[in-house]
Amino acid sequence: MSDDKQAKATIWTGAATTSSVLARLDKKAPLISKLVAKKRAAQLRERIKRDLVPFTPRSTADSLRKLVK
Amino acid sequence: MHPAQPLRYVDFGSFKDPLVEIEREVNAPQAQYLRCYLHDLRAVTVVIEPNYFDRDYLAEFAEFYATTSAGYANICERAHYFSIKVDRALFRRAVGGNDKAIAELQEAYLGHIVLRPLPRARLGRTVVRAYPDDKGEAEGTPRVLSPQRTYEAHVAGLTLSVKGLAWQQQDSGVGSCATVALWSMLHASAFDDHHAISTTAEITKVAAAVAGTGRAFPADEGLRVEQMLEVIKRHDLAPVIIPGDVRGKFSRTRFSTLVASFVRSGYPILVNGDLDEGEGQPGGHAICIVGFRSPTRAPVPDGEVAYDDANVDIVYLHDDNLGPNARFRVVEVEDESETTIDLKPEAPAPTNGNWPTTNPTEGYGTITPTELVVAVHQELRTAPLALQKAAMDWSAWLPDILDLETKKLKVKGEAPPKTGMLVGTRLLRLRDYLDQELKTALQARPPRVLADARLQLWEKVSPMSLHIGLVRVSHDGMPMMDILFDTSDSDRHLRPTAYIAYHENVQWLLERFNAQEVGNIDLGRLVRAW
Repeated sequence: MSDDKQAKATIWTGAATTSSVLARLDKKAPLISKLVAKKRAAQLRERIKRDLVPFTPRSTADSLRKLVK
Repeated sequence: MHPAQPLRYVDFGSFKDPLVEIEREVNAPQAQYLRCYLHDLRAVTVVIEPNYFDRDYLAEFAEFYATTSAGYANICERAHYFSIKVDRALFRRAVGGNDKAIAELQEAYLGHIVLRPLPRARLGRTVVRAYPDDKGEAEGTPRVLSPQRTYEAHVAGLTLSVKGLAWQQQDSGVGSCATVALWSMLHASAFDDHHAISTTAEITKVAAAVAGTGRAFPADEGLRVEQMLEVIKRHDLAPVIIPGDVRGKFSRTRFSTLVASFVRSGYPILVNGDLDEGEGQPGGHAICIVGFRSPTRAPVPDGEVAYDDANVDIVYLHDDNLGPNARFRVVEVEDESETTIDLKPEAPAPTNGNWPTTNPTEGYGTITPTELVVAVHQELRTAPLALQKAAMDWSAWLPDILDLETKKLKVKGEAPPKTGMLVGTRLLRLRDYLDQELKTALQARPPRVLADARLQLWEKVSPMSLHIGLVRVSHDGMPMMDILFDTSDSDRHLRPTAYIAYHENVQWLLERFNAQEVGNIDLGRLVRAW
């Protein structure tokens, strides 16, 4: 897949190729401290909570009796 | 007996064109819409079958029209539209088996319209092809019309095919706008030979039997949402209803991501809402969304994951007041300090000179969606909202840990790489995932990678359901991983069955996340696809 085609690919049409970001990761890098890890985990949970707000299930009780002509 | 009659060949837009006749006689906006639509598809000739027995109309006739004293006929006409000049000589060559003539007619075939003998509702089953989408494809914002399927028309032994989704004008004798929207929905590509397509008359009968609001025929009472759900159940399908999240209306994210997920899965969506035509109170109205335009890829903050398709701008819908594939823009509306969305009609600019008549899309009202109703396969038990939630829950760790690890590598003077990712969901058959999705995602890799991935899924992963929930995480247009969910259990037990890692380091990042962050992400069996 050409660079131009890849740049315009959607999430469903893109092809897996070598990722320059993933390829250069340092597998020997030190782990972060437990304190920092806890803080990061809390931030991640907050972000997930925020992003899930639009997907909260809602009651359908009011919807069922609606009449559509 | 109905008299035998020859096929007729008339110029598109001439006074003998059935759409021109209908517009002249009853000023139907649907005829105007179709004239504009077919004009932009560069229609040239109409071939008319004067005698055509239509399954839908025959059902309407049997249920209602046969017992009126008006003397309606039980036979229809069918008009076929072509983008080339077609005369009897060319048609005769094609019917005689001439390959060149057959190919020429098929190439130019734009679709067909059944013409009922009902003066106020002549437009029956209509299937027209979509506009070409060269620009969208080139710009990386292709139109997605997955619910479309192929329809065949047989004329004197000649088979003409067209890809689309059936639409028809509301005939208040046997149905309401909701009936027509349901009927279109049940035609979708997602369904197969096990699911018979109902006629509008059958839909009305089922709806009246389960929760009648009055007599079934004439169907001037409309349908309640609960009746729509029952109709879906009676077709051996499972109804899904999703109400709006902001005081009964929809936020953009909820509407866009769900519509995109359903349409990409091949399911059209019945949208129940309020149609505001500028006069009086908005009235209840139902339409059927059949497609949308992929939005441009939105930037995502580093370390975060965002829903793909959260900013859909354009949807394509069947509206019985207008016609098939009508283009509507998703517009944001400030509503008591909260933002909701409306669907505003916005026809594309004419591409073939001026339209031949008024385009009724201009001046048509705005629709405020309040419920999405979808018919899915019975075996598919996972709620779409649960899958959206799972997508975020099980994918947010990847950009988070990638961001952390790349920051450790920070080189002076060099901009850190972007680490935000997109996540999307779909519901699809396992066989289609193996056959098509994996192949597309691995098209740039050697064939052995595809073979290994397919065989690992077949031989190493616990048996999965017929339909799976697919969550894809993508970075900069490139798939990072797919997470597969079994959809045959309750949402309480929704857990990943397997994950396909497209890069070796995805597995390492998962181990790294579990080693140093709080929590333990288990994505099921690893399938190597690198």
